Amino acid sequence: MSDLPTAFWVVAGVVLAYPVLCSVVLRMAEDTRLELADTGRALLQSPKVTEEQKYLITDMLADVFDWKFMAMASIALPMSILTSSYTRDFSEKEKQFLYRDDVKKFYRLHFRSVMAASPFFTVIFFIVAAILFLFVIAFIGWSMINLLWADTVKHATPSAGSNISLKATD
Amino acid sequence: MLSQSCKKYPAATIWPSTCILLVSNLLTYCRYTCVTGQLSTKIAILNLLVLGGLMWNFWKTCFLRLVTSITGLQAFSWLFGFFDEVSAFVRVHTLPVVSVVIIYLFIEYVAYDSTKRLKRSYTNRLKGASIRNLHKDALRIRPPTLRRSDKK
Repeated sequence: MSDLPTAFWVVAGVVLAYPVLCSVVLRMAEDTRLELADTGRALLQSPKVTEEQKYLITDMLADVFDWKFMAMASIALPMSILTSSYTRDFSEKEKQFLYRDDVKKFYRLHFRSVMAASPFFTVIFFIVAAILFLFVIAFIGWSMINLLWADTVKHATPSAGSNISLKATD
Repeated sequence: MLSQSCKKYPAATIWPSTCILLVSNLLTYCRYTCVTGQLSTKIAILNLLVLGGLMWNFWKTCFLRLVTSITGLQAFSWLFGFFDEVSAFVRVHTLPVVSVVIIYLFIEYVAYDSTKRLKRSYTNRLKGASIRNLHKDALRIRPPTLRRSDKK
């Protein structure tokens, strides 16, 4: 055992520690997820939310355990900034919806929940975001961050979230 | 199908990622060829698999979901260059490697069980909510194909 290289112990340590870390982080985020479920349920019942928005909310509710979401967000975020789609893709009505307090809360809780589902890709996402923000934040401004994340979600969510089944009740 | 894919994922999101994957994969191939001085059929097949996977995923509108699996293939391809060293290492240190794999499987099992319980409590919380049919499921539905007998 003593002749094993240090690299082996490092790799073994990382490989063994990662599932434990994921499990602990998922457990720690349980309250956030349940709050997200409650907020999502309220939004789905709200008559002020359009059908299309309700589909997106359902998709987002299905994302919370999906480790792929943050991987996709790491690609979608720079694309959203580089193509400026976050300024183009939203109508005034959608912007009003995104700036509602309950919707902001829903997005915030969703962000925390999907972060907990994949610690590794969350780190990658933050590295990408940090690099981008260093160069671009001065031009975007903090007020646009909400739209930017909403656009990222819009692009990342369609292909995530398939590992839990939410059943339609109506 | 393709038009749905284009609506869901703007080309700006798809093609740069595709190009990065393909270029890095080809670089792996070139690196292997330069180091060993011979062409590797296995790596060429892996390249074809990556390319095929990309086209298939694009067609199936699941590109972004499966980028990670392709990246896994990519990682495997990189690993392939060091395959001899890795297999020699495993032969020499069989016991510690097997121990780590068994411990890993055990931890994965415990983590899977814990995650399953968390998922159950989450889906229970959402019971009764007016969930819409998921977009993803809607996208997966194929139009009914005309059977040969129907054409007549």
